[in-house]
Amino acid sequence: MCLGGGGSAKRAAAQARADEAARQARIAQGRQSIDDTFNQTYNDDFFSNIGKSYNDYYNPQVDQQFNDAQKKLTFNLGRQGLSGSTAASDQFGRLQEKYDQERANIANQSLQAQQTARGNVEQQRNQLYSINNSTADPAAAAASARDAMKGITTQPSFTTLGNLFADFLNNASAPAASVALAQGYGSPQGPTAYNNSAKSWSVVN
Amino acid sequence: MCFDPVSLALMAASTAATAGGNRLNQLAANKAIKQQAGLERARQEKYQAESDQNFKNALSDFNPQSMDTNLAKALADRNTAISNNLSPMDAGNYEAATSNQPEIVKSTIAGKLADAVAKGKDHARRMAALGATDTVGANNAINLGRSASKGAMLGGFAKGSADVSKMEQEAAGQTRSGFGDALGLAGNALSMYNMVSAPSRMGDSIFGGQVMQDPTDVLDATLQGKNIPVTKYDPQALLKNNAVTRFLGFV
Repeated sequence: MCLGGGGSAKRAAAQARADEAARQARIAQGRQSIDDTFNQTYNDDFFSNIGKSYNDYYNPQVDQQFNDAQKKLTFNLGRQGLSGSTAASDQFGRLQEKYDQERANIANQSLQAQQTARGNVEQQRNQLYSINNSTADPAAAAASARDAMKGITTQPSFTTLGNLFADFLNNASAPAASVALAQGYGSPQGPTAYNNSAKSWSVVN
Repeated sequence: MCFDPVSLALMAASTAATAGGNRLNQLAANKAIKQQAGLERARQEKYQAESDQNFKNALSDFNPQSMDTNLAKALADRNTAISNNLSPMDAGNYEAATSNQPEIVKSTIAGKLADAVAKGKDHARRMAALGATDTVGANNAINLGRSASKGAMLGGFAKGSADVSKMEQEAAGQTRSGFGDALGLAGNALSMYNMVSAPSRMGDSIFGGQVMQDPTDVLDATLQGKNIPVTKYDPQALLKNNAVTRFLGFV
């Protein structure tokens, strides 16, 4: 008989408690490692740069197409003798409006690209949290975090823009008189509509 | 079978001492288990408090005030980002078209372009408003994911601790009181003493007859052809030489 009793069981329990405390500390440390690694790389600047890259890639394309469209419109209006007309002013205004819309679309898509990249990064981070919880190995968690970063796709898919101003120029290339009529300028017959398939204008009653 | 008063008293004392020892040991074990349970409860309360705070933080993103604040910020940020990407109005873009025109035409075109720029800004604002809700939702989803992950971690900690606590409580259940053990030992010793001494008090040997005082005497007597010296077996004399009974002070 041993006075006090249960010595070996108590030692085993104390060891188990120490092991559990160490495991929890390792998991917390691993999580911190994941956060540190990710926060160093995937910070606000990183995602802003994705947006900037997106804008830098697409804005020049939009600008180029706008310049081309602006020249074509000026030429078409001049050829039709409408350069100084109110209809011409209106066409220039609409071209500018279309241009701003396309630039706004690019900015909006760049924001979307940033958001998508954030989501992808976060997905990887959460997977690492899960691995860390099950392995309780901070060194492995940190190494996994570094490896995971290599596999993260943050670059948005870049495709060449289509012809943004094609429809606008097609409409603007309609016969000069019809364009003027379409705008309701100098038309005694009231508003008109342009039939794109028939390439002709008709009066709307 | 009949018992003498001394035997009865010894039996009662033995039973009482054993029972008392067991009770003391049980109380000591209960106390140790309770202590372990208290420690574990404190640990679980700590985990629970962290989990509660984690949950509150996650939930706070969704209260109306936070949603309004976050939505307003997202709207402002998106509006700035989109508006900044609008090309500043450059009259030079239209110089070729307006260079040879009368002032009235130039001013008309300038007016139309200014209208277009204003419309572009409106368009940017509306587009920002459309996307702002998505931004808030996406940010909330990110925060929610982190909160869920942290909650899972804390849940794992709580479960791990509870698992160890079971082992600790089982070990605590084996805790014995030193005095309880001594009392139990005394009870056993009393019982043994009673068992051994009772027959002599009843005028009989525990072996049911007469025995030689010393086996060597028997051998000597036999060899010398003498009568074998026979005496009553004296258990009290035996107990007087017993270390345990001497230690416990029974004889």
